[in-house]
Amino acid sequence: MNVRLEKSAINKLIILIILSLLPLYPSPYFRRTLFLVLYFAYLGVAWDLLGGYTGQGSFVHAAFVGLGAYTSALLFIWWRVTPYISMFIGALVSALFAGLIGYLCFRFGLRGHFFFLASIAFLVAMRYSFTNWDLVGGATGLIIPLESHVPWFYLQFESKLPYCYLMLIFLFAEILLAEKIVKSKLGYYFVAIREDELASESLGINTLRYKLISFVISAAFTSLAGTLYAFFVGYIAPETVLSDILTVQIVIVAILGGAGTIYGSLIGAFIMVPLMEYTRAFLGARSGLDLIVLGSLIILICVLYPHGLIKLIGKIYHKLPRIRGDH
Amino acid sequence: METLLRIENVSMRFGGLQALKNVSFTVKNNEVIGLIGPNGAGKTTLLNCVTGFYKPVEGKVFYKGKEITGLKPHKICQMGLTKTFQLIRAFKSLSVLDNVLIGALLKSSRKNEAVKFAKEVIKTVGLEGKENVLAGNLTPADQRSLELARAIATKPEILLLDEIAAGLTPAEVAELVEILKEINKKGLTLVIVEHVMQAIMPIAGRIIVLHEGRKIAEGPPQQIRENEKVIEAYFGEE
Repeated sequence: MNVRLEKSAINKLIILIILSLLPLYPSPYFRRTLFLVLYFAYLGVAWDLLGGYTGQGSFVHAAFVGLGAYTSALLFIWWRVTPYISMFIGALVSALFAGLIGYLCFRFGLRGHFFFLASIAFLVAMRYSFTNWDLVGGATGLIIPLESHVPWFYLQFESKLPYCYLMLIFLFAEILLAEKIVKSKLGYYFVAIREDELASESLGINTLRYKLISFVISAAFTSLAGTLYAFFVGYIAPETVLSDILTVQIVIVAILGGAGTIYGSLIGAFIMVPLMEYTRAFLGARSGLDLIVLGSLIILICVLYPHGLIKLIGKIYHKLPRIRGDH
Repeated sequence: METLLRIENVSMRFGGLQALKNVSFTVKNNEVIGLIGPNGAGKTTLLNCVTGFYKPVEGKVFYKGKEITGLKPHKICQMGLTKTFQLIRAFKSLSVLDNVLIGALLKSSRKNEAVKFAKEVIKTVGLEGKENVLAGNLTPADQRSLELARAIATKPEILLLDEIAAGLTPAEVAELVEILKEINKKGLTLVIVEHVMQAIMPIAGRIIVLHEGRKIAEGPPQQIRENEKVIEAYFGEE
């Protein structure tokens, strides 16, 4: 027991050290890409709690990114509320929204494909509401004005470096929390629901309640990244933070790496984001070609590794010569 | 003996099909009841009405004097009444231990306490040594035992077993009967639904016979075996 605990702690430390060395490479483009990798890994882990562990594949998740981004941007524009605080207000808003739509869907027994469809409807409805709502900037979106007075207090940095580290801290905190959840009663109940809802009910599990809890936690986590993203780019619009493409990317990251594995999203993001960035850089001139290539690569990976790339890493890991005596 | 479960005039309809008609009986503490009847007699429907998976259209179900008609299955399980399924519903991609642990987490607040209890239950049903095997890789007989273990882990007072011997070899049935006798001795009340009469005769103290949604007989096994109505239901009129 202790040996295994120690080993996982060492593994985590190694990952953390590697990830914290990466931002030191002094290229703004590299740092921007790295930020996006960490951002998508974070979003993938949050999605995984609901989609991978509880088995409720959701398509609405971009809405929580949007709610986090919009809440913090508006509170900053109106009253100069620091994002360190407003991100939690955004998370609360997202949690409430998730609770509401989750109740509407799960109360009436929507599951599988039908929950997936309903969640698309909520995202699209929200996107078009925001596009036609002048108070939140309508279709043009919101520009977060630069603050000359103590900019760091408002999450505004000239270099991309601090954003990378901030995202890294959030990602790691999220992974630790997610692991704690997964190993607790909550996590076991999530998995039981994914495996068989009727059997779960017969074992005393209030499936409606635990699906809602999973949804709310997943939404709150997702929302925090929305705030960070908004202050990282300085500009948000329905097209960027409330788009169906964003949800697709989150789902790809989680499933590509391996749904229901937590660390899979880290691998998924490290594959998808660079692929996305580099296909766009090299093939973006011909409109759409980059997306065709990206799509084909993702299909290829899914066909070859239907259980996620984390299984590939596991295979390599087990083939490595044993240098430690702990097996 | 204290009455644990009282079923009063329960009726159930699916569209035009009358699945149950005015079924009443009681279950006392620490009894073993056999619920038998030919295919389509309404046995599974009755279990589902009692455990909250269906809401009966008429009639009431009382558990320890409290009405539980129409409560959700998880609520009824938390009160101490649960069932196993006719078709195996083990959590196939989880290990044996995790399956039983999920049941044990209901009444044990601490996880290591639940793990300890889960291991005990696994031993009771004869699955020790297979704790880390994935449920999907077990033989059907072992999956049945696993479902039994998972249900016992929720610490019920009454356990309803839906055709738990279906698909087992005679040797496996005999083994299962021993396990059931053992858990009954520890104080668990059992209601066993069986399609095959022979499987239930050696263990049941009282037998209830359903036929076409109605209760046609009730009594000790010997009496049921000689009951004309029962023979007629099973073999048809001469």
